[in-house]
Amino acid sequence: MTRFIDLTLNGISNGAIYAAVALAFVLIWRATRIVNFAAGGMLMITTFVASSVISSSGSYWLGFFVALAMGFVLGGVVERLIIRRVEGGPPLNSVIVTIGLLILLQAIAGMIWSATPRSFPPAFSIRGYHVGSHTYLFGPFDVFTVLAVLGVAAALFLLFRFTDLGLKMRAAAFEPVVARLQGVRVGNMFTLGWALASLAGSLAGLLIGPQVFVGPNNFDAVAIFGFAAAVLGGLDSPIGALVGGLILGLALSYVSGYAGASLVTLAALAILVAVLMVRPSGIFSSAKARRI
Amino acid sequence: MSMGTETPAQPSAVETAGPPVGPRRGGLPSWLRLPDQTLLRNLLLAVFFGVILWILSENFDSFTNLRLATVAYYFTALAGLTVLTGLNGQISLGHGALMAVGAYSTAILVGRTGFPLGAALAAATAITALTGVAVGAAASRLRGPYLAGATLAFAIGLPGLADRYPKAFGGENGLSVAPPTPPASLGLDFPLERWEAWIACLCALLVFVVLANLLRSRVGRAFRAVRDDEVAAQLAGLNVARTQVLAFVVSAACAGLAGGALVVVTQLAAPGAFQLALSLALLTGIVLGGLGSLTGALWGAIALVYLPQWSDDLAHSFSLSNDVQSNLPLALYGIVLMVVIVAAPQGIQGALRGLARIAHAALRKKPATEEEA
Amino acid sequence: MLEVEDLVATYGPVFAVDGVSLSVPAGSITAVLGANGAGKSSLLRAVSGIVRPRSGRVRFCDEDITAAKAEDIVRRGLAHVPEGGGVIAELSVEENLRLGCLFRRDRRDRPKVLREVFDLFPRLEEHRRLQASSLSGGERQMLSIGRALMGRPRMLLLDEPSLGLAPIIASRIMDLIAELREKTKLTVLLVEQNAKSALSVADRGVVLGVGRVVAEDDSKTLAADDQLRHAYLGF
Repeated sequence: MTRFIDLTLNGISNGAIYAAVALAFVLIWRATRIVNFAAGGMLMITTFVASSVISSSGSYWLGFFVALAMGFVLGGVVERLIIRRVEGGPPLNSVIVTIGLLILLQAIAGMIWSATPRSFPPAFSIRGYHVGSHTYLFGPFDVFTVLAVLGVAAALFLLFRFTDLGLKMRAAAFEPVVARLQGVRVGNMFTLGWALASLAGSLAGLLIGPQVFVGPNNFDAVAIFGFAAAVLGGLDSPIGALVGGLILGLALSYVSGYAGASLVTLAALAILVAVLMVRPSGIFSSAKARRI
Repeated sequence: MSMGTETPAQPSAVETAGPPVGPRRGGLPSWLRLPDQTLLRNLLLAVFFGVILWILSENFDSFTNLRLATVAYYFTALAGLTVLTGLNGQISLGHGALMAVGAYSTAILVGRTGFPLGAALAAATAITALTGVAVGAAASRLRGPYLAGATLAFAIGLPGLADRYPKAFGGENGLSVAPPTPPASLGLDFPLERWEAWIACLCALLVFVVLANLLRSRVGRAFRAVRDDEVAAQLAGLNVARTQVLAFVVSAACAGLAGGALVVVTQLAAPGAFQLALSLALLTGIVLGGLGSLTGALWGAIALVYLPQWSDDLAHSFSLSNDVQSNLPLALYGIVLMVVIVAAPQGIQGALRGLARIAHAALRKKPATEEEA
Repeated sequence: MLEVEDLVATYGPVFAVDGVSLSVPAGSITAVLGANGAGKSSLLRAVSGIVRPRSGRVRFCDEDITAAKAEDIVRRGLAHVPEGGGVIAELSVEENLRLGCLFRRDRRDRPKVLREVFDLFPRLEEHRRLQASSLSGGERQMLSIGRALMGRPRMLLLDEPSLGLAPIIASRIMDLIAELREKTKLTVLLVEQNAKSALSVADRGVVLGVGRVVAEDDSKTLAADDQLRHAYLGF
């Protein structure tokens, strides 16, 4: 029984991280109808930067916030300079451009920091809480993980629901032409959307860094998991990102615990393919099918 | 787009009966022109290229012949992929894994069960084609980024099988194969590399003939129709799902054959050669070369072989660090992908066509016309 | 207030607007009429900045807005209610309305202008929390006009406000337009296929045919011209 609880808690903690990556995918998809295949590369770079800042300055939190800030800026810059040119075009173009960016980012990381993975400190202790006779696989860092992701999600919710800026962003995402007629600078809203998405991704990188170590290719898996979670919940739905992340986190934790850690990636892929086959628009979608 | 169109010099294709009118060939005398009939034309072209390749391989040293062989098998894979993505509009990030299927099939058939090479390559092509049926059937229901994501999953997941079943697939080290022996009729000291180049080039020419015919056929038109407007294609009576699967199968067969040729050239089928990087390199190749064009596949294949070489030379001449040097080809691939799609979406072949059009127009002193449909 | 000179707008090879000139005096209601495909909607889109004109000039309050972006043009006081209303279905009624005034700097005026719009359209106030997708056609049209009014525009471009609406609702919208002009001196450029009802409320009319101006006169004269009516206006 305790094993099940352990796996569940572990699943919640990892699920929060996948949810953060999923949020990054969802925010970008909602705004610009693009799947950002470079998401994993972008959060990898910001985590590397955090790692360098932490080792040179000795302060974890400095590195933490630098990474978040850099994620925000990087997202905005990428949208403005690169993605802007393929927005609204055929999907093939945006797929190719984001993959090109991914490849480039991984190459740059390899050039600057070399391929040897380095360790990354957790924000808080990873030693599990001790209850009774059992030490659970859930410690202060896991609490922080869940709270941080929920915090970001809540902040985004408040932004979108209750602020003028959020309303403008939603209008720009739903009906860009109409939004322009209401004076909304739609391009800026898209840039902001990418910036926020990238910030969410950066958070995920910082949270999973201790687990996967920091290397050019070490974040590919979490990016895939985040994408699978986003598809599962519905690329259009931020709530779906959270729920999808949670479900995927739990599922993969159980797979890892009961079937073996080497099967985790395959399980995630299987779930992704299953969702794409059965209900590609995800759980929380308004499926608009076009049948002739 | 300008308003006016030139009146065609020849009657439109609808008005003439018989095979479709070929492209304008300029003022060549009739005996130099290629026949209009597609199959004959392509066979002649293949023979022509074959002769050129034969001459080249006779004069190349071993190393360059290996290069030639590599370009040939890349072309084999790229040709199929460019038909799938350029002509039919389906994005696949998983063709590296399909090459792996062909490679491992060949290695097992030749190495373990002693098949003759030709039969093994044919069987590997068939096996990969069957895999293509399965993947293609799943893919036919997906579009755009969803399709890219699913094929990406395939590309990442499949190589894992080699680790799961090390006995069958040789694990990390893969399966090695004895080098192909040239037939005795060619002489005892016929260089191995030249023989490998011949095999790979034969595969490439075969794929060229099949695909060049397909491009001009009803199947090719069906591929384009579905790419351009799925709903219209369906309303016109095309079975969209079947068309998509067929395109996938054709491209998978090419990838499988390419994988088999790869094993011939490298004598090894190992997971390291078929990671995600290969699928991404193939994507770079077709985009850079020019989507939907067989000539583009050739440019892409040449780029894939020579770009890493050039980037290594570049790194050496600038005395760049090891880290930079080893990552430079990847960085260049990434930059190429982004720049080409944004600045020159038709790739190298498109750029060449544009130049040819300008030159043609300048020679004829008429304003450049719109691109032929 | 609005001057259009030799405006040309194209969609690819099609010259949707082919050298249109017209002038809308302040405080007037001008109707743009003509058959389907005559270029009426394209004209509005070229004026409001959704589509970039190929050539020609557009002047609003003596300022050249030909090359200006749509999001800047609305800030100058020229609001465009697009064909179909352009109501954002995923947002609530109130959010749609709020959207209309976000570009204005004066935040304290917002509750006031919202109040005015609700007084004009009591139905909208009833449904303020509802998702816009659950509104009827007529209510959506009111919402889109209300949203445009939230920005306190000096001039309104209305693209076929009665499209798809039951005649009784359509005529109510027309009455509303007249009422707005009376109360607020709002200038209106009204595109309508239903020429009869448009001419009944407009001061002047411009008839378009295949992207060009075919006739321009005050509405009574246009309505009285039988040949014109039959040829271009369908009644």
